[in-house]
Amino acid sequence: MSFPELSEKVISVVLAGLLFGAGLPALYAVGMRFLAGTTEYTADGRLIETEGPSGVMKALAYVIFAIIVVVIIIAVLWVAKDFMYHTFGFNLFGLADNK
Amino acid sequence: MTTELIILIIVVLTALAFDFTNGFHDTGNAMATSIATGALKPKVAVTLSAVLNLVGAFLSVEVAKTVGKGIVNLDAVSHDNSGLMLIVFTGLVGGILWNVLTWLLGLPSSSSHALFGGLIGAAMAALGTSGVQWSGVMSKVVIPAVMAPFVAGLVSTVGTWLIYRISSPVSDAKKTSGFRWGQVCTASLVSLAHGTNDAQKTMGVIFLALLAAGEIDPSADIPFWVKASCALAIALGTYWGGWRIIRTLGKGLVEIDTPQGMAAEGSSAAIILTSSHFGMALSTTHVATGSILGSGLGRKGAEVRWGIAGRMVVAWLITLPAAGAIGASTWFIGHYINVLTGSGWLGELVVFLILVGFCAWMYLHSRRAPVDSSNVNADWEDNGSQDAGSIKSSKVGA
Repeated sequence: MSFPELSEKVISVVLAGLLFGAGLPALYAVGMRFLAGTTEYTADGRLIETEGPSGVMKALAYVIFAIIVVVIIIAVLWVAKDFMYHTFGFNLFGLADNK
Repeated sequence: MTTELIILIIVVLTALAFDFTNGFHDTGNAMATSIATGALKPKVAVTLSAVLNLVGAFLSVEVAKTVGKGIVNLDAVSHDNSGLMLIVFTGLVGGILWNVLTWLLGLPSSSSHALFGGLIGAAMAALGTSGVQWSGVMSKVVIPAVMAPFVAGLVSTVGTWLIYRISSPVSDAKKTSGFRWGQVCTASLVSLAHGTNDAQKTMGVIFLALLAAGEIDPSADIPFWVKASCALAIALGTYWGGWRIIRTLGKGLVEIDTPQGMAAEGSSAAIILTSSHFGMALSTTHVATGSILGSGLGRKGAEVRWGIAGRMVVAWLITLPAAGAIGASTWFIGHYINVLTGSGWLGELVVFLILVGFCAWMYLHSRRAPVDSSNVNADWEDNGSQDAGSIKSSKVGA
């Protein structure tokens, strides 16, 4: 493996990792934030909720959670694409190994 | 029943035994953080992980057929099939013995490295340095091992930092319960990914053994019974727990909170699932450990126990040569017993007895300071003990 080839692979792995491995959890945190409502610190430094989230915020949060679930389902199907093609003859994404 | 068939059966059983050790050695990669944060009860976590490993093992066979190829120089032994059989067998013995020893010490070393190390050592003993394809070893084993902790550490550090920053106005109670869900989901994905990767490696080895015995055509698909038995072996191993390693990963390295746990598992899952697609399959263990370290680095004020991390790095460095040395020495024992006695099976039998003997000894040793589902989360006391996770002696657990 030459150096340019290697660095190209490493960069691809890092970018995919950042996108899915850091991006999706961060997106989940965005969903959590929409659900946060109003919070304030107590005297002893704990953060407690004083008012629940509004309906709009709740809806936004669930849209985000739904997007994450869909991405995960697609990812698992993508991993299983060859298996599904061989077992059910169903060529998902048109990417399965046609042998 | 011919001698060849009996030996083939022993080799297949040994491969499944390796798969079992692979299972319990790596349960922690997926579930240690969920167990440590209390997101899942220990028994529930290992059961969930076992089921997902079982499913994952059937989902993809991409990895299976590449094992062995590009590492052991098959052409050099193809004229002598019983020779290949002994190499595969003693290679597996090297992998198993190293896995069980590192489990005893509570060290999360890579099972893939143990397997490759054992095979490389046995191949070198049998064929000299030409028995190993060194460029394959560099690109498939060494470089990914060096890169994995850095890549995973980076992704997880960024993830942890983002999560804490974005979720800072969320109340403590909601944070804990919300990220618990995220953590269980991401940990499940890691288990699934583990099944698709690691169960495959044993399937590849069994395929190699069937090939050596002339029982299968090189271009054939992996038979269903091989897939099913490997899936089952790794799932059983996962269910058995490997509590000593779970403890090191969950409690020893970093004190983990639920958002960190989710960041670590999210990073591991994404990297394990995508890296093989880019032609650089990374070891589950190296990725998981790097991710857990990263989750400590990304959170302000979190403590990372660098002493434990250092001990792990040492274990990683010596896994390949150590498993190789065991593979090579058991190959010499097996080979020369066969040569000296003119037997076609005595060498294999002696090696098999060595394997069983050492495993039994290490298991008995582990009972002196047992770690199980009841004390896996006990407070970490860093007294420098080499025994798993510095549990206060006896008493705790059974």
